Amino acid sequence: MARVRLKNLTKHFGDVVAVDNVTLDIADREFLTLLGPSGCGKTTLLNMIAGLESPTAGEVWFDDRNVTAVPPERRDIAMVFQTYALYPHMSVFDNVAFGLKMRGVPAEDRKRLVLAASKTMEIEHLLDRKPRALSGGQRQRVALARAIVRDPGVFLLDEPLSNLDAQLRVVMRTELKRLHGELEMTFVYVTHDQAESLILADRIVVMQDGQIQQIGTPESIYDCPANTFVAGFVGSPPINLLRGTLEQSAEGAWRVVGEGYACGVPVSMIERMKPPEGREVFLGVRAEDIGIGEATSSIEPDAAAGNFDPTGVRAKVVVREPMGSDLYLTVDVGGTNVKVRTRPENLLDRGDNVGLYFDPGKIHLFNGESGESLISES
Amino acid sequence: MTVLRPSLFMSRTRDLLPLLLNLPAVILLLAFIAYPIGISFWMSLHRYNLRRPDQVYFHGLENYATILASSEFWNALWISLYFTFMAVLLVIVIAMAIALLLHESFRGRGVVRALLLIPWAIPGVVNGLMWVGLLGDYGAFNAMLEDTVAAVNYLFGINIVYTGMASPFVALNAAIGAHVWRSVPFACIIFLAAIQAIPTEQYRAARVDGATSWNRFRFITLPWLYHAVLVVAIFETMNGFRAFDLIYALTGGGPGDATHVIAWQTYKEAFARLDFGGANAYSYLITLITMTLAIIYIRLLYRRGLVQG
Repeated sequence: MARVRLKNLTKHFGDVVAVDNVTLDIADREFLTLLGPSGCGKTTLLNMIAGLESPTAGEVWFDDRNVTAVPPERRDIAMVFQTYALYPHMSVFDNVAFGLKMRGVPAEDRKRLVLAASKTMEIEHLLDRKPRALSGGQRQRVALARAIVRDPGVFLLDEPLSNLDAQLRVVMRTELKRLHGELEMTFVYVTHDQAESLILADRIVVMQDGQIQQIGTPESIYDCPANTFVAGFVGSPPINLLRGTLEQSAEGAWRVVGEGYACGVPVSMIERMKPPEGREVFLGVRAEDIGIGEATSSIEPDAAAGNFDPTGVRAKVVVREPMGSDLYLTVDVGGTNVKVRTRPENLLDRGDNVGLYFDPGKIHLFNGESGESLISES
Repeated sequence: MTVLRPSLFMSRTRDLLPLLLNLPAVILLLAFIAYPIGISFWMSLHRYNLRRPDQVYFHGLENYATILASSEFWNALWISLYFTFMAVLLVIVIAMAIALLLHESFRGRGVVRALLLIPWAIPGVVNGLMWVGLLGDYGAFNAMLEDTVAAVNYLFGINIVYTGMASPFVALNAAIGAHVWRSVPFACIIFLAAIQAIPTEQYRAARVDGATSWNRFRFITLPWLYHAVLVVAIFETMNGFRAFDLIYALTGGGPGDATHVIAWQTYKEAFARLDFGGANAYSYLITLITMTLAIIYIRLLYRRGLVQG
């Protein structure tokens, strides 16, 4: 059990700023993921929480203890590495027991604890084996057993699933979520996989270039991205971003007009909108929030959008990608490629012209210059 | 890998080309390796002393029997064993310590790594002559040793007589020192390469597991280096048993027979006594000893399963 607080944490490697003034409060027993592209500083941040890297500036606090200068072995943490980092010359038992042995736990207790941890991870039948005789998934389980056996307060995971194949990753993802439910530990989980992040996390920290872009629950990150980076990084396929201009009609209704499209902006959104610096905006719309012609008549024009025609998106199909349960169409809207999710029965194919609806209630508006969201979270 | 099959000679000419291309190398190997090995074994079964060229005749294992019965051989064998054991031990310990140091990053590491190679680049005889200069009557090392002994005598009120390279003890250990000095760089490079191959995450995991720096060395570095240590041990054992050029230049086998290592003994048989039969028997005995040791080492390597098949 531990609450982890990072205060103005900064790390420089020479001239490179890996982590830039990060302040973060991680609640006890929270499952927090650090999400971002490679090189965004998320692993460096994790290493600083672990004590494997010392910060250039800032502090790390565990509960009421400043651990900035405390070495990793005295931080009450456990860590799972991307490559698992199992000791190849030791048996699975010795691997799991190593941390206990180093801490002077008597042999009998070690045995009892190792058996308990291997039972949790379902690796009891592997205890005599050497790591090289294990499959990727089994190694992963051993690495997890090695981490949980010491019952640490903070559990740090550095891209633990990225070396597994896609199927196994799904299994282990579920396993990790179960583990978090069973263990009373704070999980800090580094990943570049936004799906993993959305599924596992209580809260997600999205990072880019060493800086936090947004902190929030998976829902808030997905529904209210703070900027175009977060919007584009979280969600699969990535959000569609279209350049446009914000316009107001004589009657006072708002809409965004761009090359090849026009889309009404509901009053409720305008009310929550920060005053736009200019008229130039990015319109963000997710693939599932786009309706296609007559096939999706369920998306009605928003009454609040006034007398603008919200169906005014003209598109041409470029690529058709069937995905089993869904069909993705890449369409051309005024020179920009837009991904649209639709039902697999849809027969539209390359070259077909089609009219689209952008669901006005689900659109996102970003500053055309800075990319910051124009809508404050409600 | 190419496998020679009997049918090769009868099949298409295309199959003959690889054989033809390899032929020069095969001929050279046969002429300069296989033939001498064969002829020297054949000679070792003969009475073949150039002092009595009229009495060259086959007499089976007589040479071997004579050698095994001689105190010279056993003396030389023990000296060689001591020499080799000390050399292997010191080379491994010193080379590993230096390799661990060179693995750390510090200013000028590249220069130090390059400097380290110098002893390795020096030919054995030159190394011997250099140490003659250092350890001879007017050598700097000799003077330091002499002064150290004098200081010890003065401090403890004892009377150790220092006779320099005239002392069997000093001569033998000085030879070992010179041999180690020249052998360390190679071992060091092997260790350094092995250390650099250890994934850093192993150390990170061990630190999180609470291992102290000594335990990280004991439980991570050493097991990862086991393979490299055995390779160095094999190599240095061979080297130790074959040490000759250094002995030749530094001590000439003396004082007395203090540095009569087995290779020196072989040389003496051949070129001082001109007993080629006996000298060849000596060579074969050295081969037998080193081969036995090599087999033991290699078995150790495989038993640990550290050699990937």
